[in-house]
Amino acid sequence: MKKVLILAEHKKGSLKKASLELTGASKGMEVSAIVFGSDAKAAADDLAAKGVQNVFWVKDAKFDHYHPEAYAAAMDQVVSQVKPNIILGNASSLGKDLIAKMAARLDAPLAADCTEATIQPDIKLRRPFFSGKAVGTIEFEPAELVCITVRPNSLAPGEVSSTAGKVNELAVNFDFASSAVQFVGKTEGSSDKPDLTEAAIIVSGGRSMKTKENFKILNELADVLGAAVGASRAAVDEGLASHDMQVGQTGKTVNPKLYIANGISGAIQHLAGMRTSKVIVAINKDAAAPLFQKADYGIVGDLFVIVPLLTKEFKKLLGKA
Amino acid sequence: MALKIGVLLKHVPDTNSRIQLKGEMIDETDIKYVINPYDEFAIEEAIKTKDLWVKGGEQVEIVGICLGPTAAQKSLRDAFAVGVDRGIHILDNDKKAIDARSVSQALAKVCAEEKFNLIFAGKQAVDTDAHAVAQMVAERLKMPHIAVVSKCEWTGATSAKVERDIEGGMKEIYTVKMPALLTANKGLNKMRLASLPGIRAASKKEIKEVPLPEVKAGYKVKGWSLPPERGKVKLIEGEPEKQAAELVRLLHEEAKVV
Repeated sequence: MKKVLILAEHKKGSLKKASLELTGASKGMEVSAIVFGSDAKAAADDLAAKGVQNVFWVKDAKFDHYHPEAYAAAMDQVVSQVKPNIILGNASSLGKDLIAKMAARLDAPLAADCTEATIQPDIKLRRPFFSGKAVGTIEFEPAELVCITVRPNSLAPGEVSSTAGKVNELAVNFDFASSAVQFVGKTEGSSDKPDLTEAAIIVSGGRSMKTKENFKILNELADVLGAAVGASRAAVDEGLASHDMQVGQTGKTVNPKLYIANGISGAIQHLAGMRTSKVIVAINKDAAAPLFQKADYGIVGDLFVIVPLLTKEFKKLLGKA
Repeated sequence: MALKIGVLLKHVPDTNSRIQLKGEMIDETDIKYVINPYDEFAIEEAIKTKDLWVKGGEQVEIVGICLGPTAAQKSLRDAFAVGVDRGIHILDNDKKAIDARSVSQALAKVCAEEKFNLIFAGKQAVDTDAHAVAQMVAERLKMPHIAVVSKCEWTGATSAKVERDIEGGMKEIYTVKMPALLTANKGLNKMRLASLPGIRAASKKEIKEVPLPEVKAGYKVKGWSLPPERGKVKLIEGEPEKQAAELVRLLHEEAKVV
Protein backbone atom coordinates (compact mmCIF):
# COMPACT_ATOMS: atom_id res chain seq x y z
CA MET A 1 0.00 0.00 0.00
CA LYS A 2 1.11 3.55 -0.71
CA LYS A 3 2.50 5.45 2.25
CA VAL A 4 1.68 9.09 2.82
CA LEU A 5 3.58 11.74 4.73
CA ILE A 6 1.52 14.82 5.57
CA LEU A 7 3.08 18.19 6.33
CA ALA A 8 0.56 19.37 8.91
CA GLU A 9 0.10 22.96 10.08
CA HIS A 10 -1.36 24.60 13.12
CA LYS A 11 -2.26 28.05 14.27
CA LYS A 12 -1.35 28.72 17.90
CA GLY A 13 -1.53 25.00 18.59
CA SER A 14 -4.77 24.09 16.91
CA LEU A 15 -4.61 22.02 13.79
CA LYS A 16 -5.59 23.89 10.62
CA LYS A 17 -8.71 22.78 8.83
CA ALA A 18 -6.63 22.57 5.65
CA SER A 19 -4.54 19.83 7.29
CA LEU A 20 -7.73 17.87 7.98
CA GLU A 21 -8.46 18.03 4.27
CA LEU A 22 -5.21 16.09 3.80
CA THR A 23 -6.07 13.45 6.41
CA GLY A 24 -9.47 13.13 4.74
CA ALA A 25 -7.84 12.50 1.37
CA SER A 26 -5.62 9.79 2.94
CA LYS A 27 -8.49 7.82 4.49
CA GLY A 28 -7.55 4.21 5.13
CA MET A 29 -3.93 4.62 4.04
CA GLU A 30 -0.68 4.23 5.93
CA VAL A 31 -0.16 7.80 7.04
CA SER A 32 2.51 9.72 8.92
CA ALA A 33 2.49 13.41 9.62
CA ILE A 34 5.02 15.98 10.73
CA VAL A 35 4.16 19.10 12.69
CA PHE A 36 6.51 21.81 13.94
CA GLY A 37 6.66 23.92 17.07
CA SER A 38 6.84 23.75 20.84
CA ASP A 39 3.21 24.90 20.96
CA ALA A 40 1.95 22.19 18.57
CA LYS A 41 1.09 19.52 21.14
CA ALA A 42 -2.67 19.85 20.70
CA ALA A 43 -2.27 19.69 16.93
CA ALA A 44 -0.07 16.59 17.18
CA ASP A 45 -2.58 14.90 19.49
CA ASP A 46 -5.39 15.85 17.15
CA LEU A 47 -3.57 14.27 14.18
CA ALA A 48 -3.11 11.05 16.15
CA ALA A 49 -6.78 11.13 17.13
CA LYS A 50 -7.70 11.49 13.47
CA GLY A 51 -5.99 8.17 12.78
CA VAL A 52 -2.57 9.30 11.58
CA GLN A 53 -0.52 6.27 12.66
CA ASN A 54 2.75 8.09 13.27
CA VAL A 55 2.79 11.73 14.17
CA PHE A 56 6.25 13.29 14.30
CA TRP A 57 6.18 16.33 16.53
CA VAL A 58 9.23 18.59 16.29
CA LYS A 59 8.91 20.03 19.75
CA ASP A 60 12.19 21.96 19.95
CA ALA A 61 11.36 25.66 20.29
CA LYS A 62 14.07 26.47 17.75
CA PHE A 63 11.55 25.12 15.21
CA ASP A 64 8.75 27.46 16.29
CA HIS A 65 9.40 29.58 13.23
CA TYR A 66 10.01 28.53 9.67
CA HIS A 67 13.60 28.00 8.66
CA PRO A 68 13.84 26.35 5.22
CA GLU A 69 17.06 24.39 5.86
CA ALA A 70 16.12 23.29 9.37
CA TYR A 71 12.61 22.22 8.40
CA ALA A 72 14.02 20.34 5.42
CA ALA A 73 16.44 18.53 7.72
CA ALA A 74 13.49 17.42 9.85
CA MET A 75 11.54 16.31 6.78
CA ASP A 76 14.61 14.40 5.63
CA GLN A 77 14.76 12.45 8.88
CA VAL A 78 11.11 11.49 8.66
CA VAL A 79 11.33 10.64 4.96
CA SER A 80 14.23 8.26 5.51
CA GLN A 81 12.37 6.65 8.39
CA VAL A 82 8.91 6.17 6.85
CA LYS A 83 9.90 6.06 3.15
CA PRO A 84 6.68 7.66 1.89
CA ASN A 85 5.36 7.35 -1.66
CA ILE A 86 3.48 10.62 -1.39
CA ILE A 87 4.44 13.80 0.44
CA LEU A 88 1.27 15.79 0.88
CA GLY A 89 0.94 19.37 2.03
CA ASN A 90 -1.17 22.47 1.68
CA ALA A 91 -0.46 25.16 -0.86
CA SER A 92 0.21 27.51 2.06
CA SER A 93 3.19 29.78 2.73
CA LEU A 94 4.90 26.86 4.46
CA GLY A 95 3.77 24.05 2.17
CA LYS A 96 4.55 25.80 -1.09
CA ASP A 97 8.08 26.53 0.07
CA LEU A 98 9.11 23.47 2.04
CA ILE A 99 7.56 20.86 -0.22
CA ALA A 100 9.16 22.47 -3.29
CA LYS A 101 12.50 22.30 -1.51
CA MET A 102 11.95 18.65 -0.61
CA ALA A 103 10.87 17.80 -4.16
CA ALA A 104 14.20 19.12 -5.43
CA ARG A 105 16.19 17.44 -2.68
CA LEU A 106 14.57 14.08 -3.43
CA ASP A 107 14.35 14.89 -7.17
CA ALA A 108 10.68 13.91 -7.00
CA PRO A 109 7.88 15.10 -9.28
CA LEU A 110 5.83 17.93 -7.79
CA ALA A 111 2.26 18.94 -8.54
CA ALA A 112 1.70 22.19 -6.67
CA ASP A 113 -1.52 23.91 -5.70
CA CYS A 114 -3.93 21.20 -6.85
CA THR A 115 -7.62 22.07 -6.60
CA GLU A 116 -8.84 18.54 -7.23
CA ALA A 117 -6.92 15.71 -5.64
CA THR A 118 -7.62 12.03 -5.16
CA ILE A 119 -4.67 9.99 -3.97
CA GLN A 120 -6.15 6.53 -3.69
CA PRO A 121 -6.46 3.97 -5.09
CA ASP A 122 -4.92 6.00 -7.91
CA ILE A 123 -3.58 9.50 -7.92
CA LYS A 124 -5.86 11.86 -9.81
CA LEU A 125 -4.98 15.51 -9.81
CA ARG A 126 -6.14 18.67 -11.49
CA ARG A 127 -4.58 22.05 -10.99
CA PRO A 128 -5.20 25.54 -12.28
CA PHE A 129 -2.84 27.18 -14.73
CA PHE A 130 -2.78 30.87 -15.69
CA SER A 131 -4.26 31.57 -12.24
CA GLY A 132 -7.29 29.49 -12.99
CA LYS A 133 -8.01 30.64 -16.51
CA ALA A 134 -7.43 27.01 -17.50
CA VAL A 135 -7.31 23.75 -15.57
CA GLY A 136 -4.96 20.89 -16.41
CA THR A 137 -5.16 17.19 -15.59
CA ILE A 138 -1.84 16.08 -14.19
CA GLU A 139 -0.30 12.71 -14.92
CA PHE A 140 2.88 11.94 -12.99
CA GLU A 141 5.73 10.18 -14.69
CA PRO A 142 6.47 6.89 -12.91
CA ALA A 143 8.26 7.64 -9.62
CA GLU A 144 8.83 6.05 -6.22
CA LEU A 145 7.87 9.27 -4.53
CA VAL A 146 5.72 12.20 -5.60
CA CYS A 147 5.02 15.54 -3.91
CA ILE A 148 1.61 17.18 -3.93
CA THR A 149 0.32 20.41 -2.46
CA VAL A 150 -3.41 21.07 -2.29
CA ARG A 151 -5.09 24.45 -2.18
CA PRO A 152 -7.01 24.98 1.09
CA ASN A 153 -10.81 24.49 0.86
CA SER A 154 -10.45 22.06 -2.06
CA LEU A 155 -11.18 18.79 -0.23
CA ALA A 156 -13.57 17.56 2.44
CA PRO A 157 -11.99 17.39 5.91
CA GLY A 158 -11.95 13.90 7.38
CA GLU A 159 -10.04 11.36 9.39
CA VAL A 160 -7.61 8.66 8.29
CA SER A 161 -9.24 6.05 10.52
CA SER A 162 -11.03 5.73 13.83
CA THR A 163 -8.02 3.99 15.37
CA ALA A 164 -5.86 6.56 17.07
CA GLY A 165 -2.17 6.70 16.18
CA LYS A 166 0.73 7.79 18.33
CA VAL A 167 2.74 10.96 18.73
CA ASN A 168 6.54 10.68 18.55
CA GLU A 169 8.69 13.59 19.58
CA LEU A 170 11.27 14.12 16.87
CA ALA A 171 14.69 15.42 17.76
CA VAL A 172 16.22 17.02 14.69
CA ASN A 173 19.88 17.22 13.99
CA PHE A 174 20.43 20.72 12.65
CA ASP A 175 23.09 23.26 13.43
CA PHE A 176 21.24 26.58 13.50
CA ALA A 177 24.30 28.57 14.51
CA SER A 178 26.25 27.78 11.35
CA SER A 179 23.33 28.30 8.95
CA ALA A 180 23.51 31.15 6.43
CA VAL A 181 19.89 31.95 7.28
CA GLN A 182 18.87 33.23 10.70
CA PHE A 183 15.32 33.85 11.82
CA VAL A 184 15.11 37.30 13.37
CA GLY A 185 11.45 37.85 14.12
CA LYS A 186 7.90 37.96 12.95
CA THR A 187 5.50 40.85 12.62
CA GLU A 188 1.94 40.42 13.79
CA GLY A 189 -0.78 40.49 11.17
CA SER A 190 -2.88 43.53 10.53
CA SER A 191 -6.08 41.84 11.70
CA ASP A 192 -7.50 38.92 13.62
CA LYS A 193 -9.58 37.87 10.62
CA PRO A 194 -8.99 34.55 8.85
CA ASP A 195 -6.44 34.59 6.07
CA LEU A 196 -7.75 35.19 2.57
CA THR A 197 -6.28 31.98 1.20
CA GLU A 198 -8.00 29.91 3.87
CA ALA A 199 -11.19 31.86 4.46
CA ALA A 200 -14.56 30.24 3.82
CA ILE A 201 -16.16 33.63 3.19
CA ILE A 202 -14.55 36.73 1.68
CA VAL A 203 -15.91 40.25 1.50
CA SER A 204 -13.99 42.20 -1.09
CA GLY A 205 -13.86 45.81 -2.21
CA GLY A 206 -12.85 47.59 -5.41
CA ARG A 207 -11.98 51.07 -6.51
CA SER A 208 -15.54 52.23 -5.78
CA MET A 209 -14.75 52.00 -2.07
CA LYS A 210 -13.14 55.41 -2.70
CA THR A 211 -11.23 55.69 0.59
CA LYS A 212 -9.33 53.45 2.96
CA GLU A 213 -11.72 54.41 5.77
CA ASN A 214 -14.70 53.17 3.78
CA PHE A 215 -13.39 49.61 4.09
CA LYS A 216 -14.84 49.83 7.61
CA ILE A 217 -18.25 48.81 6.29
CA LEU A 218 -16.70 45.73 4.67
CA ASN A 219 -14.90 44.91 7.92
CA GLU A 220 -18.18 45.12 9.82
CA LEU A 221 -19.88 42.75 7.39
CA ALA A 222 -16.88 40.43 7.51
CA ASP A 223 -16.91 40.35 11.31
CA VAL A 224 -20.52 39.18 11.35
CA LEU A 225 -19.73 36.42 8.84
CA GLY A 226 -16.32 35.44 10.25
CA ALA A 227 -15.00 36.43 6.83
CA ALA A 228 -11.73 37.79 5.49
CA VAL A 229 -11.56 41.11 3.67
CA GLY A 230 -10.02 41.33 0.22
CA ALA A 231 -9.51 43.99 -2.41
CA SER A 232 -9.07 44.35 -6.15
CA ARG A 233 -5.78 45.40 -7.71
CA ALA A 234 -7.29 48.78 -8.59
CA ALA A 235 -8.10 49.36 -4.92
CA VAL A 236 -4.62 48.29 -3.83
CA ASP A 237 -2.83 50.34 -6.48
CA GLU A 238 -4.76 53.42 -5.37
CA GLY A 239 -3.72 52.85 -1.78
CA LEU A 240 -7.19 51.98 -0.48
CA ALA A 241 -6.04 48.59 0.78
CA SER A 242 -2.73 46.89 1.54
CA HIS A 243 -1.13 44.49 -0.89
CA ASP A 244 -1.67 41.45 1.31
CA MET A 245 -5.39 42.01 0.73
CA GLN A 246 -5.14 41.87 -3.06
CA VAL A 247 -7.10 39.11 -4.77
CA GLY A 248 -6.15 38.33 -8.33
CA GLN A 249 -3.41 37.22 -10.63
CA THR A 250 -0.72 39.31 -8.98
CA GLY A 251 -2.23 38.91 -5.54
CA LYS A 252 -3.83 36.07 -3.63
CA THR A 253 -5.67 33.23 -5.27
CA VAL A 254 -8.65 32.46 -3.10
CA ASN A 255 -11.06 29.58 -2.90
CA PRO A 256 -13.94 30.43 -0.51
CA LYS A 257 -17.47 29.09 -0.54
CA LEU A 258 -18.81 32.63 -0.69
CA TYR A 259 -17.19 35.68 -2.31
CA ILE A 260 -18.99 38.99 -1.97
CA ALA A 261 -17.53 41.53 -4.42
CA ASN A 262 -18.37 45.13 -3.69
CA GLY A 263 -17.79 47.71 -6.37
CA ILE A 264 -15.42 45.41 -8.28
CA SER A 265 -15.79 45.64 -12.02
CA GLY A 266 -14.37 42.18 -12.68
CA ALA A 267 -11.15 42.66 -14.63
CA ILE A 268 -9.88 39.39 -16.05
CA GLN A 269 -6.90 39.39 -13.69
CA HIS A 270 -9.23 39.72 -10.67
CA LEU A 271 -11.46 36.90 -11.90
CA ALA A 272 -8.38 34.72 -12.18
CA GLY A 273 -7.85 34.99 -8.43
CA MET A 274 -11.39 34.23 -7.25
CA ARG A 275 -13.20 32.31 -9.95
CA THR A 276 -13.12 28.99 -8.09
CA SER A 277 -15.27 30.54 -5.34
CA LYS A 278 -18.34 28.35 -4.91
CA VAL A 279 -20.80 31.24 -4.84
CA ILE A 280 -20.04 34.74 -6.11
CA VAL A 281 -22.11 37.80 -5.24
CA ALA A 282 -21.62 41.04 -7.16
CA ILE A 283 -22.75 44.36 -5.78
CA ASN A 284 -22.17 47.30 -8.10
CA LYS A 285 -23.85 50.52 -9.20
CA ASP A 286 -22.77 49.84 -12.75
CA ALA A 287 -25.11 47.23 -14.24
CA ALA A 288 -22.63 46.72 -17.10
CA ALA A 289 -19.79 45.59 -14.77
CA PRO A 290 -18.36 42.38 -16.27
CA LEU A 291 -18.42 40.70 -12.85
CA PHE A 292 -22.22 40.36 -13.14
CA GLN A 293 -21.55 37.89 -15.98
CA LYS A 294 -19.48 35.74 -13.61
CA ALA A 295 -21.60 36.03 -10.48
CA ASP A 296 -24.33 33.80 -9.11
CA TYR A 297 -26.23 36.60 -7.40
CA GLY A 298 -26.14 40.29 -8.16
CA ILE A 299 -27.47 43.53 -6.80
CA VAL A 300 -27.30 46.60 -9.00
CA GLY A 301 -27.10 49.30 -6.39
CA ASP A 302 -25.03 51.54 -4.17
CA LEU A 303 -22.72 49.41 -2.05
CA PHE A 304 -22.65 52.11 0.65
CA VAL A 305 -26.39 51.53 1.11
CA ILE A 306 -26.49 47.78 0.49
CA VAL A 307 -23.52 46.60 2.58
CA PRO A 308 -24.70 48.00 5.94
CA LEU A 309 -28.15 46.52 5.24
CA LEU A 310 -26.54 43.15 4.57
CA THR A 311 -24.63 43.41 7.84
CA LYS A 312 -27.94 44.04 9.63
CA GLU A 313 -29.70 41.14 7.87
CA PHE A 314 -26.88 38.66 8.51
CA LYS A 315 -26.80 39.72 12.17
CA LYS A 316 -30.49 38.88 12.37
CA LEU A 317 -30.01 35.56 10.61
CA LEU A 318 -27.04 34.52 12.72
CA GLY A 319 -28.62 35.67 15.95
CA LYS A 320 -26.01 38.36 16.49
CA ALA A 321 -28.41 41.29 16.46
CA MET B 1 36.58 40.52 -7.13
CA ALA B 2 33.68 40.81 -9.46
CA LEU B 3 30.27 39.90 -8.16
CA LYS B 4 27.65 38.18 -10.24
CA ILE B 5 23.91 38.46 -9.76
CA GLY B 6 21.62 36.05 -11.60
CA VAL B 7 18.00 36.86 -12.40
CA LEU B 8 15.64 34.07 -13.40
CA LEU B 9 13.16 35.32 -15.98
CA LYS B 10 10.12 33.80 -17.59
CA HIS B 11 8.29 34.88 -20.71
CA VAL B 12 4.58 34.48 -19.86
CA PRO B 13 1.13 35.49 -21.11
CA ASP B 14 0.19 38.99 -20.03
CA THR B 15 -2.27 38.84 -17.11
CA ASN B 16 -4.88 40.54 -19.30
CA SER B 17 -4.72 37.67 -21.78
CA ARG B 18 -7.76 35.49 -22.27
CA ILE B 19 -6.86 31.81 -22.37
CA GLN B 20 -8.68 29.77 -25.00
CA LEU B 21 -8.44 26.16 -26.04
CA LYS B 22 -7.89 24.83 -29.52
CA GLY B 23 -9.01 21.25 -29.36
CA GLU B 24 -7.37 19.90 -26.22
CA MET B 25 -4.48 22.37 -26.25
CA ILE B 26 -3.95 25.96 -25.16
CA ASP B 27 -4.49 28.26 -28.13
CA GLU B 28 -1.56 30.63 -28.16
CA THR B 29 -2.51 32.68 -31.22
CA ASP B 30 -3.92 35.73 -29.43
CA ILE B 31 -1.76 35.67 -26.35
CA LYS B 32 0.59 38.57 -25.77
CA TYR B 33 3.74 37.54 -23.91
CA VAL B 34 5.61 39.67 -21.38
CA ILE B 35 8.16 39.32 -18.59
CA ASN B 36 6.50 37.53 -15.69
CA PRO B 37 5.26 40.38 -13.42
CA TYR B 38 6.99 39.00 -10.32
CA ASP B 39 10.26 38.73 -12.26
CA GLU B 40 10.12 42.49 -12.81
CA PHE B 41 10.56 42.91 -9.06
CA ALA B 42 13.50 40.51 -9.20
CA ILE B 43 15.11 42.52 -12.02
CA GLU B 44 14.66 45.82 -10.20
CA GLU B 45 16.10 44.43 -6.97
CA ALA B 46 19.11 43.09 -8.88
CA ILE B 47 19.71 46.52 -10.41
CA LYS B 48 19.30 48.28 -7.06
CA THR B 49 21.71 45.83 -5.46
CA LYS B 50 24.22 46.29 -8.25
CA ASP B 51 24.04 50.08 -7.92
CA LEU B 52 24.67 49.78 -4.19
CA TRP B 53 27.65 47.48 -4.63
CA VAL B 54 29.12 49.50 -7.48
CA LYS B 55 29.03 52.53 -5.18
CA GLY B 56 30.98 50.42 -2.71
CA GLY B 57 33.68 49.91 -5.32
CA GLU B 58 32.70 46.46 -6.54
CA GLN B 59 32.48 45.25 -10.09
CA VAL B 60 29.04 43.77 -10.59
CA GLU B 61 27.41 41.96 -13.47
CA ILE B 62 23.72 41.03 -13.76
CA VAL B 63 22.93 37.98 -15.86
CA GLY B 64 19.37 37.21 -16.93
CA ILE B 65 18.53 33.55 -17.43
CA CYS B 66 15.47 32.60 -19.38
CA LEU B 67 14.19 29.18 -20.42
CA GLY B 68 11.71 29.11 -23.26
CA PRO B 69 11.09 29.20 -26.98
CA THR B 70 12.94 31.52 -29.36
CA ALA B 71 10.35 34.25 -28.77
CA ALA B 72 11.30 34.37 -25.08
CA GLN B 73 14.41 36.36 -26.01
CA LYS B 74 12.14 39.39 -26.06
CA SER B 75 11.86 39.23 -22.28
CA LEU B 76 15.65 39.15 -21.99
CA ARG B 77 15.90 42.23 -24.26
CA ASP B 78 13.26 44.00 -22.14
CA ALA B 79 15.33 43.19 -19.05
CA PHE B 80 18.46 44.51 -20.79
CA ALA B 81 16.68 47.80 -21.45
CA VAL B 82 16.32 48.49 -17.72
CA GLY B 83 19.81 47.37 -16.77
CA VAL B 84 20.45 43.62 -16.93
CA ASP B 85 23.91 43.22 -18.49
CA ARG B 86 23.75 40.01 -20.48
CA GLY B 87 21.54 36.99 -20.94
CA ILE B 88 21.55 33.25 -21.23
CA HIS B 89 18.68 31.75 -23.15
CA ILE B 90 18.03 28.07 -22.57
CA LEU B 91 16.29 27.19 -25.78
CA ASP B 92 13.27 24.92 -25.44
CA ASN B 93 11.13 25.20 -28.57
CA ASP B 94 9.86 21.64 -28.11
CA LYS B 95 8.54 22.38 -24.60
CA LYS B 96 10.39 19.52 -23.01
CA ALA B 97 10.84 21.38 -19.73
CA ILE B 98 7.19 21.69 -18.74
CA ASP B 99 7.09 21.37 -14.99
CA ALA B 100 8.92 22.61 -11.90
CA ARG B 101 11.13 19.54 -11.79
CA SER B 102 12.47 19.79 -15.33
CA VAL B 103 12.70 23.58 -15.42
CA SER B 104 14.57 23.69 -12.12
CA GLN B 105 16.98 21.01 -13.35
CA ALA B 106 17.84 23.05 -16.44
CA LEU B 107 18.11 26.40 -14.64
CA ALA B 108 20.22 24.91 -11.85
CA LYS B 109 22.67 23.46 -14.34
CA VAL B 110 23.21 26.81 -16.03
CA CYS B 111 23.34 28.70 -12.72
CA ALA B 112 25.95 26.27 -11.38
CA GLU B 113 28.25 27.09 -14.30
CA GLU B 114 27.84 30.83 -13.72
CA LYS B 115 28.67 30.58 -10.00
CA PHE B 116 26.36 33.40 -8.92
CA ASN B 117 26.89 35.21 -5.64
CA LEU B 118 23.23 36.08 -5.52
CA ILE B 119 20.14 35.03 -7.46
CA PHE B 120 16.81 36.82 -7.69
CA ALA B 121 13.61 35.34 -9.11
CA GLY B 122 9.91 36.16 -9.05
CA LYS B 123 7.98 34.28 -6.37
CA GLN B 124 6.00 32.47 -9.04
CA ALA B 125 5.32 32.61 -12.76
CA VAL B 126 1.77 33.65 -13.61
CA ASP B 127 1.33 30.85 -16.16
CA THR B 128 2.25 27.64 -14.33
CA ASP B 129 1.83 29.21 -10.85
CA ALA B 130 3.84 26.43 -9.20
CA HIS B 131 5.58 28.79 -6.81
CA ALA B 132 8.33 26.20 -6.70
CA VAL B 133 10.97 26.53 -9.42
CA ALA B 134 13.20 29.09 -7.70
CA GLN B 135 13.25 27.20 -4.39
CA MET B 136 14.08 24.04 -6.32
CA VAL B 137 16.92 25.76 -8.16
CA ALA B 138 18.31 26.94 -4.82
CA GLU B 139 18.09 23.46 -3.36
CA ARG B 140 19.80 21.91 -6.38
CA LEU B 141 22.57 24.50 -6.04
CA LYS B 142 22.78 23.85 -2.28
CA MET B 143 22.15 27.55 -1.86
CA PRO B 144 19.98 28.90 0.97
CA HIS B 145 16.85 30.73 -0.11
CA ILE B 146 14.10 32.91 1.28
CA ALA B 147 10.91 33.15 -0.77
CA VAL B 148 8.21 35.80 -1.14
CA VAL B 149 10.45 38.68 -0.12
CA SER B 150 8.88 42.14 0.08
CA LYS B 151 11.82 43.94 1.67
CA CYS B 152 15.56 43.47 1.27
CA GLU B 153 18.07 45.56 3.13
CA TRP B 154 21.83 45.01 2.87
CA THR B 155 23.36 45.12 6.31
CA GLY B 156 26.89 44.17 5.33
CA ALA B 157 28.96 43.30 2.29
CA THR B 158 27.51 39.81 2.05
CA SER B 159 24.48 39.78 4.28
CA ALA B 160 20.96 41.12 4.01
CA LYS B 161 17.94 41.42 6.22
CA VAL B 162 14.85 40.30 4.35
CA GLU B 163 11.14 40.18 5.04
CA ARG B 164 9.06 37.28 3.78
CA ASP B 165 5.29 37.67 3.38
CA ILE B 166 3.18 34.90 4.88
CA GLU B 167 -0.50 34.40 5.63
CA GLY B 168 -2.60 37.02 7.35
CA GLY B 169 -0.41 39.96 6.33
CA MET B 170 2.34 38.72 8.66
CA LYS B 171 6.03 38.90 7.82
CA GLU B 172 8.86 36.61 8.81
CA ILE B 173 12.17 38.42 9.11
CA TYR B 174 15.49 36.71 8.39
CA THR B 175 19.11 37.55 7.88
CA VAL B 176 20.69 35.81 4.90
CA LYS B 177 24.34 35.45 3.98
CA MET B 178 25.43 35.14 0.36
CA PRO B 179 25.50 33.12 -1.76
CA ALA B 180 21.72 32.99 -1.59
CA LEU B 181 18.57 33.02 -3.68
CA LEU B 182 15.66 35.36 -2.98
CA THR B 183 12.23 35.32 -4.60
CA ALA B 184 10.43 38.61 -5.02
CA ASN B 185 6.88 39.52 -4.10
CA LYS B 186 4.85 42.54 -5.08
CA GLY B 187 5.71 45.33 -2.67
CA LEU B 188 9.47 44.80 -2.91
CA ASN B 189 9.86 47.58 -5.47
CA LYS B 190 8.49 48.76 -8.78
CA MET B 191 10.52 48.12 -11.90
CA ARG B 192 11.96 51.29 -13.41
CA LEU B 193 10.96 52.29 -16.91
CA ALA B 194 13.47 51.70 -19.66
CA SER B 195 15.33 54.83 -20.77
CA LEU B 196 15.96 55.57 -24.43
CA PRO B 197 19.71 54.90 -24.16
CA GLY B 198 18.79 51.75 -22.22
CA ILE B 199 16.55 50.56 -25.04
CA ARG B 200 19.26 51.33 -27.59
CA ALA B 201 21.90 49.50 -25.57
CA ALA B 202 19.58 46.49 -25.12
CA SER B 203 19.82 45.41 -28.75
CA LYS B 204 23.61 45.20 -28.47
CA LYS B 205 23.83 43.18 -25.29
CA GLU B 206 24.84 39.57 -25.54
CA ILE B 207 22.40 36.67 -25.38
CA LYS B 208 24.14 33.33 -25.16
CA GLU B 209 21.85 30.65 -26.50
CA VAL B 210 22.35 27.25 -24.92
CA PRO B 211 20.55 23.99 -25.68
CA LEU B 212 18.22 22.54 -23.06
CA PRO B 213 20.24 20.22 -20.85
CA GLU B 214 18.92 16.72 -20.36
CA VAL B 215 15.94 17.05 -18.03
CA LYS B 216 13.32 14.75 -16.58
CA ALA B 217 9.80 16.11 -16.33
CA GLY B 218 7.84 15.00 -13.27
CA TYR B 219 4.46 15.11 -14.95
CA LYS B 220 2.65 15.83 -18.15
CA VAL B 221 -0.61 17.66 -18.57
CA LYS B 222 -3.00 15.13 -20.00
CA GLY B 223 -5.83 17.43 -20.81
CA TRP B 224 -6.91 21.00 -20.52
CA SER B 225 -10.26 22.49 -19.76
CA LEU B 226 -11.58 25.94 -19.15
CA PRO B 227 -13.16 26.65 -15.78
CA PRO B 228 -16.87 25.88 -15.82
CA GLU B 229 -19.11 28.81 -16.68
CA ARG B 230 -21.68 29.74 -14.07
CA GLY B 231 -25.37 29.84 -14.79
CA LYS B 232 -26.98 33.17 -15.48
CA VAL B 233 -26.67 35.64 -12.63
CA LYS B 234 -29.74 36.03 -10.44
CA LEU B 235 -30.28 39.77 -10.16
CA ILE B 236 -32.17 40.85 -7.09
CA GLU B 237 -34.55 43.73 -7.70
CA GLY B 238 -36.49 46.05 -5.43
CA GLU B 239 -35.78 48.58 -2.72
CA PRO B 240 -32.36 48.26 -1.01
CA GLU B 241 -33.90 46.85 2.21
CA LYS B 242 -35.72 44.20 0.21
CA GLN B 243 -32.67 43.44 -1.92
CA ALA B 244 -30.48 42.91 1.13
CA ALA B 245 -33.03 40.71 2.88
CA GLU B 246 -33.62 38.64 -0.24
CA LEU B 247 -29.88 38.15 -0.88
CA VAL B 248 -29.34 36.96 2.67
CA ARG B 249 -32.31 34.59 2.35
CA LEU B 250 -30.98 33.16 -0.95
CA LEU B 251 -27.46 32.68 0.40
CA HIS B 252 -28.87 30.91 3.43
CA GLU B 253 -31.69 28.84 1.94
CA GLU B 254 -30.77 28.33 -1.70
CA ALA B 255 -26.98 28.47 -1.93
CA LYS B 256 -26.60 27.27 1.68
CA VAL B 257 -23.27 29.02 2.14
CA VAL B 258 -24.19 30.99 5.25
